[in-house]
Amino acid sequence: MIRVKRGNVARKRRKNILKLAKGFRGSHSSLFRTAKQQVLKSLRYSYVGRKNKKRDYRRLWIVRINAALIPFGLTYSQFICGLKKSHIGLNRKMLGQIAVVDNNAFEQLINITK
Amino acid sequence: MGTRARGSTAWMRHQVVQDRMWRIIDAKDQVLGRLATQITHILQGKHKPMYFDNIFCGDPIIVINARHIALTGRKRFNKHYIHHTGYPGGLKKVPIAQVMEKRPKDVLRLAVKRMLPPNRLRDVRLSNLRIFLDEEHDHHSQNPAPLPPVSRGPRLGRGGPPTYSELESWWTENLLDVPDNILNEVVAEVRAERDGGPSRASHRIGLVQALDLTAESDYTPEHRERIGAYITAAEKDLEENAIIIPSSLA
Repeated sequence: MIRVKRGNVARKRRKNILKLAKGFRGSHSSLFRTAKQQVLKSLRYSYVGRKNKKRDYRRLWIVRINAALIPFGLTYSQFICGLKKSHIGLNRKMLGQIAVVDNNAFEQLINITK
Repeated sequence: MGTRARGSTAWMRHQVVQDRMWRIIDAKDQVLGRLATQITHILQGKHKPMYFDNIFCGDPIIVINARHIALTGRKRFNKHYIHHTGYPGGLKKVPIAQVMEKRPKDVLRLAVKRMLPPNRLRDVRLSNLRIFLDEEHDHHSQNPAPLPPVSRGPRLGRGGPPTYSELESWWTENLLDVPDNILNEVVAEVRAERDGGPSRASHRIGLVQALDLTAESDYTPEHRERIGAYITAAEKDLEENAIIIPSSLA
């Protein structure tokens, strides 16, 4: 049998993995064997993180909207109920932003929902 | 420093720190847990439309009169702080009366600490809670804004001992005609109880006896009802706990 050396391909493969492992801690960024394991794990984490991000932000916006409603004596659930009933489709991200930047608009929204 | 566009995250983060405002709460006769929820809410900054969960964006709070915090029911006698040392048989139970005596600030501080989310911000938030045992505090230069008290304290005749100042105001409202010696006797009784005395039965009896001395015509139906409730509760207490009435009142 002819002996096959994988020089070029193997180097490329290892280089690509190590590239993904940049900034990892200790040997996880320098040794191929540990780096490869860590990269596999990290990609999984970041996949989960992308899903969680949506939940986390929604929670944050809800807290903000609720806070903005305190001076008006409303709670978040009452406000959202009102919006639903008056067929206003603004999402929580927009509502949170409006509450901070444009008080008049937010007040009008509250008046509509009341 | 880059520009912070209005409404951007960087702008909000800047604003929320700029708008920080000191607050002051009077803990007198406030129920411990209810006060703590109010405090945690503000320490977390959940009352601000620019709330962030990753920076400290709450307001610093000064609590005065922490010594006069109220507990409902029989917690004054029953509540314990429980922890385990990790060794076999290492379960420690510290009665609240002992904590009140040795580290009175810890009662409120622990209640707040355990209500805050257990993350890295907890210590930062907690350090923005300044507790003072009495009326005076060290933060006049911060010009704190007073927060209205949430609870009116535990109510009379609701199982637990009424708070001292509540009783005192009740006295002045309803018992103007009571002879001084009786009044002093009962007030002393209430004082003793506030400082960890045995029961509420004795002062209830005292209250009833004193009320009997007032002119019948002074009673409104509401008074009658309250007196009736007091008598029943006192009798029940006496049965259950075998409380001795002070001889001067019996």
